Amino acid sequence: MGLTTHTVSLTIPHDADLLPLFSMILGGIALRRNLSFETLDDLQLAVDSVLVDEKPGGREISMSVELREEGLDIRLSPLTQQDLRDTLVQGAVPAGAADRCLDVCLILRSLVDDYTVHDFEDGSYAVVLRKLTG
Amino acid sequence: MSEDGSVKNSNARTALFSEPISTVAEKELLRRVHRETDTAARDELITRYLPLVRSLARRFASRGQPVEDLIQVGSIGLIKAIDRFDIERGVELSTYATPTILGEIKRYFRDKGWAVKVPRALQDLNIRLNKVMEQLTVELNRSPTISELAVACKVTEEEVLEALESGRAYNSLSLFSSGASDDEDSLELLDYLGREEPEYELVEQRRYLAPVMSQLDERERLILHLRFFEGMTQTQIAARVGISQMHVSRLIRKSIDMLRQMMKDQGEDGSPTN
Repeated sequence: MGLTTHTVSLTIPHDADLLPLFSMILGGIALRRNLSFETLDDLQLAVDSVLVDEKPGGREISMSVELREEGLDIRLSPLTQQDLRDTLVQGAVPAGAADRCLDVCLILRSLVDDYTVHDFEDGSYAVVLRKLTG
Repeated sequence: MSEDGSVKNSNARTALFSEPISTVAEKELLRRVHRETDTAARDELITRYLPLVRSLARRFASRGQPVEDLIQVGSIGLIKAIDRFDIERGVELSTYATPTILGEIKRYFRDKGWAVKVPRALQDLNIRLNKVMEQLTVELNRSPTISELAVACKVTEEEVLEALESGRAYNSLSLFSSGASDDEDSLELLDYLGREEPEYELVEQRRYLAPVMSQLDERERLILHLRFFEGMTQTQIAARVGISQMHVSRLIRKSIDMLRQMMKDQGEDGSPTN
């Protein structure tokens, strides 16, 4: 039986105290999709790794989780941290930032099956983390 | 009875140790450790005294921390005691080691624990989850789901999620810290378990990452290596390193946070750490 695609979204003020809400949402999804603790933990760490260097600036940040039969797509936006964007796009920390940025690609490659970057006209961008669970 | 004829505390000693150890044999092992830097002798003493560590750790079982964690903390105290023991002092190693082990465990309770206020019931559930997760992982041969954890703990699935989330507030053990450690004499468990991964070759970023990685302790480096370079799962790492899956999870997070912060500091200083 096929699973209908659903999307669960949450938009919150970008505040460190509120970011754990994303983890709670992922927990709820993991429960309903019967994911293992380990898979949940990987997803939570992946999301945290993308968001950790984003600077709060009185704006909102969103997480949308698209539930598909074969897995999940977690979309985080809008993001503004350019070192992270460049690292994800190039697949490694750019030479100019290699001394100050942990290579998030190294981490994400182990935690999710794929990740993509989508640029917006205003210079911000979205990261989509794909995890296959089927 | 010991080889030198002493019967003092013989009952207590045989109860605590996996097999009776004579005072003479113990002294010989200590002599080899201190005069010949004999690691085999050191390992032998550690193995023989681990039941003492377990016994002491269990005294703190009701204080809300996993006994397994306390045994690991106590093991550090044991290693310190063995390494610092003065053969000429005329006391038995057990006499010297007991307060050192207890001190290490008490220091752990003083310094570590829950970073923010978490209701006791959630702390307790988190500790139970730790144990249940280990049991289920062995039973199922995979990481359990939230529902399976809830059934095993006889709580709701939401309670499991809440407890797991609250577990983030738990300051994961820095039993083996170096670099930023508050105790320069801290010894590493892997010192006696043996070096498993002599090389931590990294990819593109290795020139910058390597010196920062070196500030993590051996076990944290090993876990990061296994997870992110060998592609092992938390469950596999837990089995290999001999700690719980939740502990692996905590150590991964802690290590990544430390690496990120150290690299940030390094970038701000403009001076590579190597």
